[in-house]
Amino acid sequence: MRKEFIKILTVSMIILLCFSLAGCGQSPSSSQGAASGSKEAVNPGNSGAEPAQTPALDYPKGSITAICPWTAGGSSDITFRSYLSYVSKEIGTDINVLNVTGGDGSIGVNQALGMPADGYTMAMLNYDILSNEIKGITEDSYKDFAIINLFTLQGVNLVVNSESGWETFEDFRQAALAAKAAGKTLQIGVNGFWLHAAGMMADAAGIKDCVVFVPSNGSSELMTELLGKHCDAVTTSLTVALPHLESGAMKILGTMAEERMPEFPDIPTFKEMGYPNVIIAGFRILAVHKDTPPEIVAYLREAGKKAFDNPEFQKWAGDAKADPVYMDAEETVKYLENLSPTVKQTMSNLGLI
Amino acid sequence: MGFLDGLLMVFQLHNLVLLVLGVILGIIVGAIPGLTATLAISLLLPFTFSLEASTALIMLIGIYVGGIYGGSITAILLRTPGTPAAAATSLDGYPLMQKGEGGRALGIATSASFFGGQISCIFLIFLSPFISNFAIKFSSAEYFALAIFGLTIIFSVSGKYLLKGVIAGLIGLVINTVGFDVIVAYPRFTFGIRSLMIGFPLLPAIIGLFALSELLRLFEAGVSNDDTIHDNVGRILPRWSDLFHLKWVFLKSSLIGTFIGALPGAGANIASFVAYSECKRTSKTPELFGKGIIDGVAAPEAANNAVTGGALIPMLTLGVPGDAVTAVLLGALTIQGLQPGPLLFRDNPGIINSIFASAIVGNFVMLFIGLFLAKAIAKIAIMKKTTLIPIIAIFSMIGAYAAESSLAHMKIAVIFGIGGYVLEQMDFPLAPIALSIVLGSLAENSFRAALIRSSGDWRIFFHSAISIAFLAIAAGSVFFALRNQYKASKQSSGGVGL
Repeated sequence: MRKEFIKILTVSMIILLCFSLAGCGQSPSSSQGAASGSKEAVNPGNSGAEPAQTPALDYPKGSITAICPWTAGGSSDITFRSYLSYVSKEIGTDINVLNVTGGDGSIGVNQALGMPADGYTMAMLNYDILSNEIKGITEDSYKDFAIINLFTLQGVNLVVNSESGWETFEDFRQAALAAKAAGKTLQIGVNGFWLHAAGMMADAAGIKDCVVFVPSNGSSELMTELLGKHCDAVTTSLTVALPHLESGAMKILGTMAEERMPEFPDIPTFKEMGYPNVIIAGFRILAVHKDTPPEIVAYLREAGKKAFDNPEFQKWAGDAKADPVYMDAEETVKYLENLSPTVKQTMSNLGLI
Repeated sequence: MGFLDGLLMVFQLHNLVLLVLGVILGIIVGAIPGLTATLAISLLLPFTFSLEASTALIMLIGIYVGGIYGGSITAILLRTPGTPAAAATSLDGYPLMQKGEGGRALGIATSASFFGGQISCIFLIFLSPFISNFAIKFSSAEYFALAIFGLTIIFSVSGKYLLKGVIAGLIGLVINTVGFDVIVAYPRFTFGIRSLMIGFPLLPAIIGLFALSELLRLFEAGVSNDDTIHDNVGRILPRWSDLFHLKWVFLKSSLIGTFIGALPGAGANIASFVAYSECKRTSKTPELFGKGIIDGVAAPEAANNAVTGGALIPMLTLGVPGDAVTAVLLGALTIQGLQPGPLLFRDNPGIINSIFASAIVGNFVMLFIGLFLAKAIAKIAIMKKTTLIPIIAIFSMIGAYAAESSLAHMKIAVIFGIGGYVLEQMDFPLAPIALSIVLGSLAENSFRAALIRSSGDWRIFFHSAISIAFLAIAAGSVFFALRNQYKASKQSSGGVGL
């Protein structure tokens, strides 16, 4: 009897441990926040900024949940968690990240909208918030959210294998036209929304019939596709391609950003090359439900800005090549309003809608 | 010389402590269904920001090594694979447990994991450039051929009910089509139900199929108060004769694991099934597989731990992660301000050496902890039924829920549990379902990507020697399985009773 009891005790301890681990599943930044929180108790001004607390506002009273619609450990998740840890410092409370994945981000976004609009649930919005609505996968829109701010904007590049011999985008375009004349196609490896970027570019350059877009399971697979010369080009962010660009194995023919990249000042933008509409970027936006009390939204916006300007975040984002860009709520909404018709046009050109 | 520096680094007290802690944490997390090494590393990542780069990596690699191994413990003892990569281990591990040889199975799993891990480290250290050059030869056509090769295991794990096994495999493939089609990013077969948009994720599906269905079976068998399911687990420390007998299984499965680990499109889940399949295909006693044979435990365990070293190869040489865990490790390197990829060897040899050393030392730590801890953990399995059944139930449901804190995942586990129980009652084997869920999306997506690439030309699957070889072996094993089946049925009844 006693022995059995000890066994049960052991097992319940294990289950308890399991529960606490499961708890960690949602709250890595919570424990981290707790660690830094205790530091703050000793020295409240350790991040160089007093918490932006206004005396009238009774918020936040407890911890906040932030929904990341992508898997734990991916680049979006890592960047989101890192940014939130600085937001958490500003508002002096824990922010627990919950990964709710699936449906190209639409499941997580929907779950965030289903929570009370009290400022205790945040969400990350990405490019898919536009494309999913246009496709009719979901009715949720960025308009259902009160935007806090945009914190990264990642330009898309056309990258080729250096052994291809192409020096400029025009070389690539001519090669595509030549391939078409020979009854062949060039293959552009894509993944996720980068398909839209590739489609936009091919359409603008008049080589839509000369290329096929080969889907891939992830951005890292795109790199082996290009290294192994299974594809002629890929559209991708700088993050994954950087080591190969530095080693000289790959080369950027053009960037679809608004302006040239600081890391590669010699690479022209498509805009400069005469394709003014080929501007596309992946973005990450922090948002809460649109019915959240305005004073809480205003408070979070102030905290979001301060967190972004925190030199520690800037250093981290620079090291991690996360492309930190700040846009306040108004600018972000304007940006999304402008982008939305372009996304729709691109998707219809690609035959996706 | 450099490697010795790495070793010295790992043997610094704080690094060694963190490594041991990492391995223990990994084993615990791995053994709990639903919590995987990927999750553990993602959770720990924020804590490592403040650590020195090499210290952080040493600890993360410890978790990686422990986490992949840990899944085998519960797979063997409770038929509840702690990680999807251990699903193949339960095919023979659990029958061994039922025979009272659970300890032997655990010992074999531990030593196989150790062996697989070390072999892959040797490849990692000495043959990285060679392997990564081979890995980039893989494109959609080759991945498709690999997936088909893996799927032919259905013909070998189905036992005497070949037709039912094939049907079970097809059920798995159909299940796989539900959810979000990643190629066109559009929901399929969701019937407008939002919660179906996530499809049937691997983790809750495996937990339901194996653990919950087993639970129902235990219930059915009846419960009395002093019933224990297993009398004992026996000795854990593996016998030399067992290890000697398994030497080729160890070696071959380790090579398979290392190589599949090095492919960015396939990881430990696929490696363990492919190794199991290959082991059975070349075995002299294929009929004993699935009934409790140590080869069937050794092959998937050697392979899934060999994935650890293998997956680090493209990460370090190409800056491309070989599986989900190394994708997170890559993030860790970047956060530390290091640029993974071809230039890392030149710019930061110190980091590379500490990764090598921590992988090797980590495997030793895993071996010792595994052999000693297993004895304690194994006691769980000799508890009374009335104690054990609720424990499995709680473990399974927490496991399904934990990764995404999602009720939908729990529902999926329950549905798969009931479905799995019903199918098993009707003599449908469950392994083919799990297998086609693991391999189905790789097969489908690479198939479609290959045909998009070739503008619909089927000959793309016969363009490279790699895909031809895989497809030929696949066709060969289907042919032999059918022939054996035909012979067997002719002998027994004179008819073709599939």
